[in-house]
Amino acid sequence: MARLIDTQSLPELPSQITLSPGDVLVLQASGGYVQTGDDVLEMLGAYQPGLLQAAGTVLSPMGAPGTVLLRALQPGQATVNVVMGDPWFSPETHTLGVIVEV
Amino acid sequence: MKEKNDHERQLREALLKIEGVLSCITGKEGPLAASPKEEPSADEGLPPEQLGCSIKSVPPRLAKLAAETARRVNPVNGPVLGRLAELKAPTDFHPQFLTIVVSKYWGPSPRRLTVSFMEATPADLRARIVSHMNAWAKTTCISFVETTGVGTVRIARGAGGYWSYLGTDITLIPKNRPTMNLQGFTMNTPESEFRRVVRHETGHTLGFPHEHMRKELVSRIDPQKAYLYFLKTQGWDKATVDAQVLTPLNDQSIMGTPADQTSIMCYQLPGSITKDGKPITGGVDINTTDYAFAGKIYPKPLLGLTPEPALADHLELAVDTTDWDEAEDVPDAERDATIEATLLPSHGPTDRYPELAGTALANHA
Ligand SMILES: [Zn+2]
Repeated sequence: MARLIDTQSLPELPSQITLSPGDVLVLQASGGYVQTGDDVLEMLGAYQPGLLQAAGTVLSPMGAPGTVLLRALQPGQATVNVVMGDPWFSPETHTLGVIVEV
Repeated sequence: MKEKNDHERQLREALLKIEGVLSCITGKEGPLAASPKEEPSADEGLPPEQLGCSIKSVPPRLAKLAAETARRVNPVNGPVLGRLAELKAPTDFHPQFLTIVVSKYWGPSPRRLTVSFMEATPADLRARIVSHMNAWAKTTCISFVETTGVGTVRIARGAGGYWSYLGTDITLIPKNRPTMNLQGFTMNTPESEFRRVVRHETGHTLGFPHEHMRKELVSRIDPQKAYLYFLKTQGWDKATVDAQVLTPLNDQSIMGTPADQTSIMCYQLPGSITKDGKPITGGVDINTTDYAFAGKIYPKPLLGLTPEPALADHLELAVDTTDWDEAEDVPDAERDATIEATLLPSHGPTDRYPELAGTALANHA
């Protein structure tokens, strides 16, 4: 069964992460891109916060994205660059190794 | 005779302030302005640093109410709202435009906004944050003071970056939700970051938009270079780059000074994405122009003193934030009470200048 994986509890991301196909990794980041293994790991996108209203509309602030979603596609290895911190002021890029296995 | 001269001088000063406020809206200088404009400090050689944050906007269903609230707090907001009618088509109502057009200024009366913290926050950190917020009080009539209760300004330090709701919009936010986010700020955060980030976010709380979205600055950016740059450095798609750096504010912004790339409200953008190869330097602290403009919009009392903010006893708050449901909307009476409570007992200009009754300054809340 696929999992939605929260990373907020960690002060720092580990250098390598093991996922199963279908898993979605939620990162607190302003951006990111798959460097190698784009058939193994898919960057779903960088997202701004949004808040669902009772009326069915979504409240979304202007500003930099704060969340990046990655989805594991199939067994294999990938590397992804995750951009964290203030995107306008000394953003930090972390390279993450991802192993996807059944 | 001296008394009469003093009175005339004071009256002239009051009129200058009114004119200054109006010129901020119309972009035209009035006949009373005798001194040259403060020059933007774009070439003062400040280091090229800036921050990224997001201004939170109220939900669309509250936009009209927000505008009415802003206008009630300060009639200065009225003409700006009125110019909504000049927009050509519904497609012009981009959230960023709307945030600017329906400006959220607090009005010229002295106010003290209470501040509380969503998470357990050490007393020294709370005091440090509030002291940087009060940097704006150097030239303005608005100050910030920590409260042991639930503040008008509510600061969180969790994930999500740096952001603040804009001006009087903060009174529309449910009280169990923050109005400002300062991700990861601790006492170990460098002082320069307190200046750069806390003062910037507080600028949003005062109602100031992002300066880098001024069309004069946006027009310096080469779109193709920007798309490539942000794809490479952030992985952002075209739509994200459009929203972040290529969509200019319109001229109805109340930020009436010339576009100022060293404003505390301006991001840093690299020379590699500009047409002329020169960076948009961005600001790292409230600059001279920021102080002057803020002082015009929020004039210090002409007579008497705005009381210095005093720190209240500290109470550590741990508030669980849940999704904002419509049922959580702040009731009218509560919102009015919140706004009223920010007013200082000190009186507005027209209390001292009855001659101004009926003018813009006389109509403040
Ligand atoms: Zn900002």
